[in-house]
Amino acid sequence: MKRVLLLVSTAFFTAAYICGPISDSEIWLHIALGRKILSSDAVPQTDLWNRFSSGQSWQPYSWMFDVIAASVWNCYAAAGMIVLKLVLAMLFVSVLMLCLVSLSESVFAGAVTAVVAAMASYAHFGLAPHVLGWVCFSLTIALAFQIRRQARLTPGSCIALAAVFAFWTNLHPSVLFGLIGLFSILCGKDKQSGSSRLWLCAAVCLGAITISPALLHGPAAVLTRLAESLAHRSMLVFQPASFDLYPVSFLILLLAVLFTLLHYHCARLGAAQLVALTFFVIVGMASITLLPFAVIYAASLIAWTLPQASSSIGAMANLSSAATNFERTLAKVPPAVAAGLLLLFFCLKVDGLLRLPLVSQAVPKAAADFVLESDLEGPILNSSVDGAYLIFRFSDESGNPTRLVSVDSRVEINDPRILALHDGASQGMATWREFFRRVQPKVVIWPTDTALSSILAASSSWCRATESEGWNVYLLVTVPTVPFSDCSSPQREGELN
Amino acid sequence: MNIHFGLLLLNVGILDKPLMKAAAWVLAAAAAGLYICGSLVDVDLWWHIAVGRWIIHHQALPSVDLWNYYSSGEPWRAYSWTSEVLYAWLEQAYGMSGLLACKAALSVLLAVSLCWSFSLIARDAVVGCIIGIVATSACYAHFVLRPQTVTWILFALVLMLGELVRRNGVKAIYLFGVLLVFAAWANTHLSAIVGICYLLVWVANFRDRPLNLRPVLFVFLAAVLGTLMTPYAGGEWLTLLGKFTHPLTHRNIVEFRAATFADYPAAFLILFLILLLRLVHERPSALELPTLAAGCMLAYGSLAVLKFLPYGAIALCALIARYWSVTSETFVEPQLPGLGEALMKLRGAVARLPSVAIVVLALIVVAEKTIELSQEIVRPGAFPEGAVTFLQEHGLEEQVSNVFGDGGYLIYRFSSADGNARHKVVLDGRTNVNADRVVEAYQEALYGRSNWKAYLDFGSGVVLWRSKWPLASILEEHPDWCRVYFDGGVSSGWSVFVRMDKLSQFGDLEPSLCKAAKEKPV
Repeated sequence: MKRVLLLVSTAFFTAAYICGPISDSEIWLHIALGRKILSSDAVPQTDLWNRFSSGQSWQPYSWMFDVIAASVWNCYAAAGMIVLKLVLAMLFVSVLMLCLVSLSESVFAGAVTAVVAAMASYAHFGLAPHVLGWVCFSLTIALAFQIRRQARLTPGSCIALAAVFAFWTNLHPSVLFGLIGLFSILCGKDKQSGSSRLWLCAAVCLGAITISPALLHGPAAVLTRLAESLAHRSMLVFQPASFDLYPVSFLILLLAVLFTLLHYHCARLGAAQLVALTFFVIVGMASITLLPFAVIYAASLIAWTLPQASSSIGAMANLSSAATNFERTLAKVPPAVAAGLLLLFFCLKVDGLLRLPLVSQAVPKAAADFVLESDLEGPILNSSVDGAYLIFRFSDESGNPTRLVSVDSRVEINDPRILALHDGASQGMATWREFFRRVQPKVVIWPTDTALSSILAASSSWCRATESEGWNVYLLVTVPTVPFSDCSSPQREGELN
Repeated sequence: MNIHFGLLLLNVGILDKPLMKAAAWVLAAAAAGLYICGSLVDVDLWWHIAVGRWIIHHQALPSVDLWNYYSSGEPWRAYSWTSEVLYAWLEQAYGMSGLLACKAALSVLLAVSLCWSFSLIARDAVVGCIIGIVATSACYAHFVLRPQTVTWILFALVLMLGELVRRNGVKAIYLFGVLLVFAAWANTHLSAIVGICYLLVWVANFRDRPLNLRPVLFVFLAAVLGTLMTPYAGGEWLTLLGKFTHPLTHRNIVEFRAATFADYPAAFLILFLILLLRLVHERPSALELPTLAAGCMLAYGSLAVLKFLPYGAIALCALIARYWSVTSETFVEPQLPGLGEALMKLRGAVARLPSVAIVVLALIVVAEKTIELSQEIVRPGAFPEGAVTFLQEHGLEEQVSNVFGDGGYLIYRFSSADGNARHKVVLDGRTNVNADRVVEAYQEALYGRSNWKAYLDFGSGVVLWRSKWPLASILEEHPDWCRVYFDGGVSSGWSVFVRMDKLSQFGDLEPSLCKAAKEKPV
């Protein structure tokens, strides 16, 4: 009982540790989409919010998450959203912990590995559907190893696999990673029975993936645009990982442990698992948003290798001594005291989160307020990062748009040419004029301390109507709705002087 | 393609005549070296030449800065003076062709040093050459004509000397070699400390119980003594102390940023690391843990600062060579299934190549690369040649607000033949010289942040900037500034801007250029 209490409090502590106030602007897009789904009782089939893709075929592949987010927001607003984020964190940590404890056959080793893996995902954790993708990935890996252990596919495993994949496909397109992880683990030495098991699993999973309003549209659309989006490195999530990043250090740590274990028990893992691990590491290092999949996969392989390693623990010399000493040291702390301290941290963190659920500086709230209060009409030019929030602000409570954004973060629907021009303009390159020529904006909402903002501030064709909370609103000087005297521009300042 | 040629050209083991053997060995390395050699492109080369000219003319080393407007008179050491004198002399005597020939010679020297060093460490010429050529290729992206490149050669020599001390014990000749190498290193670059630290781990035999500290101590003393043999009597150590944190504080400089998975040399380093781990996996006792840990730490450190990647690559290759030396007698199945067999097959295939054909092929590669280099001595568009000529023609050289990387070229162009500055620059590529307040203001201008004007206040109202960078777009829009020069289109090339109130001082400049630009409809 005490061990269970300690395990649960550790999960609560880790969840609270990785959970911060809501700063990810993507959540606003999900709320807007969810509102649209709730109001129309249907998943939209075309895009409605982006000026350059409005009317084009598109389906929100995270519709299930969108509905949850919109429902929570409509009922409980910011407090509800932070509670939802905490629940998501607890779900992720708990599932990861259970899976790794089950794989490692050791509560201590599984829990420690899970805590490290969860902390490695800290930088990427947010109130977003990809976290549910991590949960499904962890479950898939655990199920795959269970099937491998049992050496057959039981009806229970079949149903569990189908449920995970059906859930996953309606949440995030990363379901493809689940298939890779699953097959890499099921590729065993027993080729004959392994092959039939593999085909059966494939049939179950692929069947489950089709249980979605979007069918295979989500993964297919993302795959199609993935290469294109990788070219738009200005988007933070698509940047390659550099070796001084926090999660990369965790991944390297996990890989070092894994290689040490393999050093002594190389037969524990087959070539398929090592190939899959290489794939996940390369993909994660090439695009940091995918790094947690590599972390979870590496942690799962560690947990899987551990039982055999512990059977010949003497062979592992210093590493096993260190692990044993660590466990003994921790065991000296009374479980009730440890659980109490961990839960105290959790309570303090939750209190802090409830006091400050949203990071208001993360979104252009004041700028959007100004546009709405001044009743400024588009076309509106915005940055891709702000697109999600502006879609939310420029939609009514039914999710229908009142104004369209020029660009947003949905790489699979944005016009790649517009995205490329946006990237250049973001960096203040001379091609910003071409971006403006294509958008023909009358209103620009742009972060203050950036190159494009400086260009517009210097331009006599644009005037700065407001500057607040890190964003500026610029108006074309010919816009009649705002008096010229309310705007500041070099030309205007020159006239005043 | 060239790297394949390079690999094909290795034939040391089977050549029967000593002369032919030596020719094949050197030519194979030369082909590999020339593979990584391109046209002159490094922006820092130019201030090195200017400093070299000053040293030659004054027959002395500068003790204060003379070229930067905001640091002039501040203490400064020309710690790369040997390279600077060489560059200045070559440029004076043979022009750009001389500098390119020097770069080509350096590339060949690097490849030969690596091959030689790894051959000795591995006790196998064929394997050493293969590793050396791959290590040379790993330096490709960083290879430019600058003093730092020389230190890679010195690092290879240091490892070789360390290996000799470890095998044969402390001998006067080896200590003299260490002393000379570190004297050369200290007179070339500040990074001698990297070589010293790694050498100490490389020399130590951690299997000895108790650890024999004698060779470590002697080598350490020889190395440190070597670094004191400079015109500044080891004052470079003080410069190093002041500059130690620069790689971490100047992250906006490309060479100081952390490597990403997409960087060409990082991929090489990771391949070396994987190969090494795989080998050690099979034979954990082949390499001592401290040596292995030091190599991995150097590799990890070099991934954190891109500039140091070649050191990491060379260190890992040296570890692979040492592993080969220790295990080559039993380097076949079952000790190393699959990989060991593949490596042995590769070695055998390379060793069986006909020697004459190798020489001929190497000569073809060398000739082809020589022709290629002679056709493009300086990379077109790498330096603001036209823009600086424009500045000089219009008397706009004083206190030009420039890009960090272009400062070196401006020092070169704004200096006389004796190296004295006719006009000083606001900012240049010497991170230990620039005034902190100027660098901070420059960051704002570089990224076009709201406080971009602060940097221009350090100048005199003339800006030389890359046309595609944010500040050029800002100034083009701003009514107070006028673009008076533009070349190369928007994706490359330079622009010159002059502040409007200054424009009237330059009678021959016509502001209609900028007016036309500002009236363009958006």
